[in-house]
Amino acid sequence: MAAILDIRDLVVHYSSDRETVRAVNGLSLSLERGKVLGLVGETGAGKTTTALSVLDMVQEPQGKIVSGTILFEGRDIRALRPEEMREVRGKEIAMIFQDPMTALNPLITVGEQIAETVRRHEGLPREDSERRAGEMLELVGIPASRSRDYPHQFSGGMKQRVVIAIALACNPKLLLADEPTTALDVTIQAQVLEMMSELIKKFGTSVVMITHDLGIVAENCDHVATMYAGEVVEYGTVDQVFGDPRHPYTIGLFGSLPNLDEESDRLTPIPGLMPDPTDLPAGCFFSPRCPRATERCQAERPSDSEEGGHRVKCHLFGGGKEEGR
Amino acid sequence: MLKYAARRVLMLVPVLLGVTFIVFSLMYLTPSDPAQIVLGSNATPAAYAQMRADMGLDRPFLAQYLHFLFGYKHPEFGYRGLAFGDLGRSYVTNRIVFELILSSFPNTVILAIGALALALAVGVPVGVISATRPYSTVDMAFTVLALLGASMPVFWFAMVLIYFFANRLGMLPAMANPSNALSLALPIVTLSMNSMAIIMRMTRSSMLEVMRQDYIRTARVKGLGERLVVRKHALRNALIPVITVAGLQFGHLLGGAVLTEKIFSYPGIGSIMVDAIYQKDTPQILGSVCFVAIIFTLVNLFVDIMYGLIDPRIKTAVQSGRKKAPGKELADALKRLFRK
Amino acid sequence: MRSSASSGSKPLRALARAGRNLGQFWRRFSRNKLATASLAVVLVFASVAALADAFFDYGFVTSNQLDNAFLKPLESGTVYEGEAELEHRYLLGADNYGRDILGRIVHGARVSMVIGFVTVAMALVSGGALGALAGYKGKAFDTIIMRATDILLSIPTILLSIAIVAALGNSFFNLLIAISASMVPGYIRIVRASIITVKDQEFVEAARCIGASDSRIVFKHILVNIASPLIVQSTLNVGSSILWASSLSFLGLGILPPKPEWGNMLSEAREFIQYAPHTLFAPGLAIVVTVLAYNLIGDGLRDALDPKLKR
Repeated sequence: MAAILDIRDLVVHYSSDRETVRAVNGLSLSLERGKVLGLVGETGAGKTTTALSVLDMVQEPQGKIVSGTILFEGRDIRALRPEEMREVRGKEIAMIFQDPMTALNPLITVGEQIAETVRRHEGLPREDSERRAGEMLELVGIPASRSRDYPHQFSGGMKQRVVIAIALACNPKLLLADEPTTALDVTIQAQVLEMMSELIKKFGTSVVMITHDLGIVAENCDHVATMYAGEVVEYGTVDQVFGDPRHPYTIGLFGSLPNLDEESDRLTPIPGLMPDPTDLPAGCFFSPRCPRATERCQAERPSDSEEGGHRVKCHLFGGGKEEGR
Repeated sequence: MLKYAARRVLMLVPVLLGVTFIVFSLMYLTPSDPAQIVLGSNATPAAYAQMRADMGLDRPFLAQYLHFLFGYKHPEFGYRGLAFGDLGRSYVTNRIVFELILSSFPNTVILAIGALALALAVGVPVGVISATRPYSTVDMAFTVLALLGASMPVFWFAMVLIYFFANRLGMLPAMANPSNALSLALPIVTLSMNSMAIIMRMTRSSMLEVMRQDYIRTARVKGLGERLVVRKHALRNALIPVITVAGLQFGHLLGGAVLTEKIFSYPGIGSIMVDAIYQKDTPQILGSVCFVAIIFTLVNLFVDIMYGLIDPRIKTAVQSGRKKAPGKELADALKRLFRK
Repeated sequence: MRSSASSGSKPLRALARAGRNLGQFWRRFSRNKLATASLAVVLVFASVAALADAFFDYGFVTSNQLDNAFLKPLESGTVYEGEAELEHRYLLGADNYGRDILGRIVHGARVSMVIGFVTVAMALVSGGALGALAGYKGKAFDTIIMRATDILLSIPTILLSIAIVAALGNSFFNLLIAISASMVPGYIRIVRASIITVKDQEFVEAARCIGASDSRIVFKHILVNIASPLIVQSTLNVGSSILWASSLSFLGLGILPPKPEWGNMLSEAREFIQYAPHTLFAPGLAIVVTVLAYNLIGDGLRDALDPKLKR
């Protein structure tokens, strides 16, 4: 099956005149059409930067895609001219941001904020685009009559529904959802998420779901990629990764979650902190925190090893050296 | 909304009382003797004393202040007081104080409106251009120009303009008069220079701030062109603090046109004030300074209320009677910054 | 905030740290080319002002040489000093009384520098003290001081200064008062606002918990934190003070001729714009360059002192 999104060896740096933040370091990912990929990892792992790269929205001049290819439906995103890229944004690839409180323009009615996308990409006259905006609002569970209201008249959960309506207004092929529910109350989270996954199913949208909530991944995703320090360290189907987590970091992530099935007194957090992205360690980036690190791990960067679509970037695997698990 | 405005107007009363008190105290301290101004320098000491008594100047300070506010009864030197817009006649010209003020004030308003319009027409677009290319050569050049505008003495700038446009090129008159539109060109340019610099800097920093906001990213993700992002999504938001600053500048232009009016011999309220100070014409000084201070305060109040009308967030907040409106703090901070 | 960690017990180490901070600050400041150049300009002007008497005799720049009135730049004329007759070259020309314009600018620089620094110092001390009182003591102090500030701010600055000079009389000291009075409200607000934000932060609470006295808390912790806005504001204020002084002198309310001052030089030049424009340009440029330099330095300082700004 053809991948809708295929990222190869993506490297993104943010640089000031003093230092270079290596946000994404040789990331490779692919997403099949109509599937949902969960991208998990701690804050600062480069998840958002990866998503912004797909839209070619890494902010210049500080941020820059240094190398790598991003293929969307086989087209190289990085080779597109700016005006071609603008055709893709919002129409074929849409994005939902983390914080609905700041994602909407406070001085423009929510209806107009939905309608302008439609007008931009489908060339509809004003009336039709406004009608479409109303329909989109209904679709995300808000009465169409509220399209004349301003964002500050909505609650956080409602705003995120509006943001989702904007993203889906032109029926995009790919949706990048950057922690769409993190900023919401826990009770609202479930509602919004459920509504979103229904819409995704209905439209057949392919989704990259960025989150650090493994529960969301388990419920909504087909594939999972674990990110650490700008790399994908483990990739596989939800069954593969959740049933048989291999990378010590992924195992650590599960260890730091409460497990209802098992009796245990305390959670085991991963010791240490994410490495400083301006000063990444030699060898495996996770080696300083890894309970099973060897000398080799500190000296040599591991490469991917694959087994039935389950990819792991770790010296413990591959090269026939699968010992002592 | 009305209630809010009414409350703000009520809060003005103590401020205005304070202003009149300060101005009055300063004039009270002035070493000049009004009796001498009225009688000239050749009268007898007894005549001076009689005149001072007639004018009420032998009373204690507080009594004089109350006269000034609420009127002084005397067949010749009586007046109804500042509260009733009457301070009697000027010692020097013998004209009614407020008549002169009210006849010259519209001239000042003309200058101020012209200067503000010019400042906005140039300052906002230039600020936007600067902000869309931050730290570029263009931006740097505009930044230096703006600082130059803020660093130039108004009176010197005016004289340089007069030298080139009136003396050398003979294009524009060096003296300004409200009845001759062409003659207003130089004073308006002079007066607008400072506000232009401030509005430009404000637009730039406000735009830069807005361009960093998440909703600008949202607009870009929709595939909107950069021009539309700037015009529709950024500019509107960025203009809110700019409008506030422009309003405050208008207050300054009304009160601070002293130097400009003086240099172009323009019959505005600034000229009247300076002349009154030169001639130690106490009622005229008191009247005009208090008048300008009151106008200045009212303009600031109006800006505050306008601010609420422009921003839908505050509009609802005010309507629903919430005390702390979002963005209000920003407005206050800005005002503090630009009031100096 | 770090600086409050080790409380002066090891003066040497503190000194070393201060040196390091200063070095780091200088690196950030010097990256701003305009600000560095402006600093150089200000230093040159300051040394010229300090050595004014070495360049030009004060008696010479204040006495009339009517034969030389309106000499153009670089022209020479005969100058009478008592009995002696000297040939003098007027580098920037002569004014309406035949006085050397360059000499008057040099001596005017001294006046401007003094006014700039003294008024700012006066305003800083009085405004800072009032602001600290308002912010730290709060309640009635705060209300009274802040109302008074509001009132002062509702009189346009130039009017306030003019009224003060008019009321107190035309003298150098009154000019200083008039100018600094217009800057006091700014300092009150900065200091009060900074103190209110800093006051409730945890490290001050912590200091109070270990029994540090009130004044100790104010000086040690708060001052460290409000130093940078005050430094920036004061630099900008030196510039505007010089501008105000020249404006008031121009109106005949500050320093009067024959004493040399940039504003009153322009006031005299005003009548001869058409006839002798060279009397207009040089003193004006002196003001512009000086004020611009202080503004640019202030901008540079703001960037260099702002830990959040990492450009």
